[in-house]
Amino acid sequence: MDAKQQEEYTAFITQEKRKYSCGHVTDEERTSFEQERLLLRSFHIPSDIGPISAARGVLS
Amino acid sequence: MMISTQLHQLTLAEAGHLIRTKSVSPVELTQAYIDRIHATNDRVQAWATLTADAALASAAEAERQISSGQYKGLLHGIPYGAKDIISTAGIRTAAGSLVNSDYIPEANAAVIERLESGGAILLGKTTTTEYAYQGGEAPTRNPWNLAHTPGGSSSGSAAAVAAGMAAFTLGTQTFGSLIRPAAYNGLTCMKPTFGRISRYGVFYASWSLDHIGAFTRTVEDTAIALEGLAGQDSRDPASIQGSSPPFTEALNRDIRGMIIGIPDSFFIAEDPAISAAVEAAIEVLRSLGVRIKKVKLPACIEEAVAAHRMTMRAEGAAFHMEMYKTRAEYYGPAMREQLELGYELSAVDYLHAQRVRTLFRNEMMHLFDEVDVLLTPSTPTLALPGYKTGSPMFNGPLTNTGLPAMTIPIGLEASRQLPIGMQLAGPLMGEDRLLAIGHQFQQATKWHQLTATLEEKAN
Repeated sequence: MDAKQQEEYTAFITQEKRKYSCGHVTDEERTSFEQERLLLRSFHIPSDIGPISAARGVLS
Repeated sequence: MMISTQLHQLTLAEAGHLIRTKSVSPVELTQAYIDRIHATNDRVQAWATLTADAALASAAEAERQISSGQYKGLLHGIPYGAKDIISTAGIRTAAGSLVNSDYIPEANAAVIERLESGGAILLGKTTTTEYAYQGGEAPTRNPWNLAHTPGGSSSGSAAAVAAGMAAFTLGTQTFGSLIRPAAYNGLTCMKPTFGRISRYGVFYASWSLDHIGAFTRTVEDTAIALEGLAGQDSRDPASIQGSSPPFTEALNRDIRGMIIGIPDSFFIAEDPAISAAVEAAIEVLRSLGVRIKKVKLPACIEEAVAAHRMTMRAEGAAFHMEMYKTRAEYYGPAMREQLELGYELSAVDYLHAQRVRTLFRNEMMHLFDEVDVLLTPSTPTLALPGYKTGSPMFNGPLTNTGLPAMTIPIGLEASRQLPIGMQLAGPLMGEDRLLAIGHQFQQATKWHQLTATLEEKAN
């Protein structure tokens, strides 16, 4: 990596870390998380629909 | 078959043909890739670990086997790279993280086992975002325009093939980490049906969402790699039972009369260059005899995206729980953020998300009652300038449902010289349709033959 690339990458990493100076979860991500959880909780699913399985195997 | 002039520019199929006919030796080919890595990796930063000496030793062994009549198939003697979340015996597998940065696995992942038994040559490990999460980006650059991201999380795998540093590479996708970087780098890549390729020995990002695939330059190469990688494995609980089909036999299947569905919403590209390239690609497909039909996506697609993200948070938090108890401060901030949110989720929220996924999957599968495949842009934007790896939103619905998807290069944006990809998706176990359409598209176009210049271009 040349010096310019190294400088740009280091600046990017520093900027990313700065987003978390007030805690592990940014306000933006917290808002997104809460909105997604609300969206899911308010969504009606027919009672015969069960959870998808992590180990489903498409033919089993 | 068209044969390129330089060894590092050969397709996998071309190199396999030359090795089989003993026109090129595995040692020559491996040395050519190592030379190419030494000449270009300083600019691209695609490799986390290079194992040149071991690769040359494996190549010499492959050469001895082939000379003595023990030819194993088209992958024999072909150099490749593996994303650094895939375990490699005796080779550091750090997963782009400081959490366990000196980890050296004792055993190979199933995909490495399979490639080793097929005689392929491991060149080393390619860069990844931290544990294949979004965030924790590697310094890897896009070989088409060094000021831009190659995408992620399989950043190094995509960039390595685009820069001619490997014949093919392995990557993984939990949201869009195969299709998006492949599209950004002008490559052909398939995310096969969920369970098609064993994840045994790969760091999980999410048990119910992780897929493995190969970055290649052509659809023919994708089919060859898929034949080498796919197969039942009792060590992966999601593994598809039974034997895999011969994927290369699908390439020349008649596609005339096939119906391609174009979704009427959600997959709307933000960059007009992408929309124009997709329209042009559709015209090429029409000329090949396929029919085009608009289709309506399931109404619950936004809920499905939310369910996808909740699943990643919960399953990722569960996977990392033991390590996180003692080494939380070693995780990068973007990954730590997702793990923290994962620990906040209730079992009820997680199960509700899985029920949304079931509903969405069922409705997506019904689309294939009226069309043979779906066609969308591979990405909403071109590769972004800087280090953020871009949006995986167009790839998520296919990862979420486990349906097979493939990206094919369909254009190059003129001013920034960045590639554009088209995503094809099929029904479960329907890889053959994607391979047939993709291969015949590539017989009619030249976008997959363009090579990256490894220069920085003004935006």
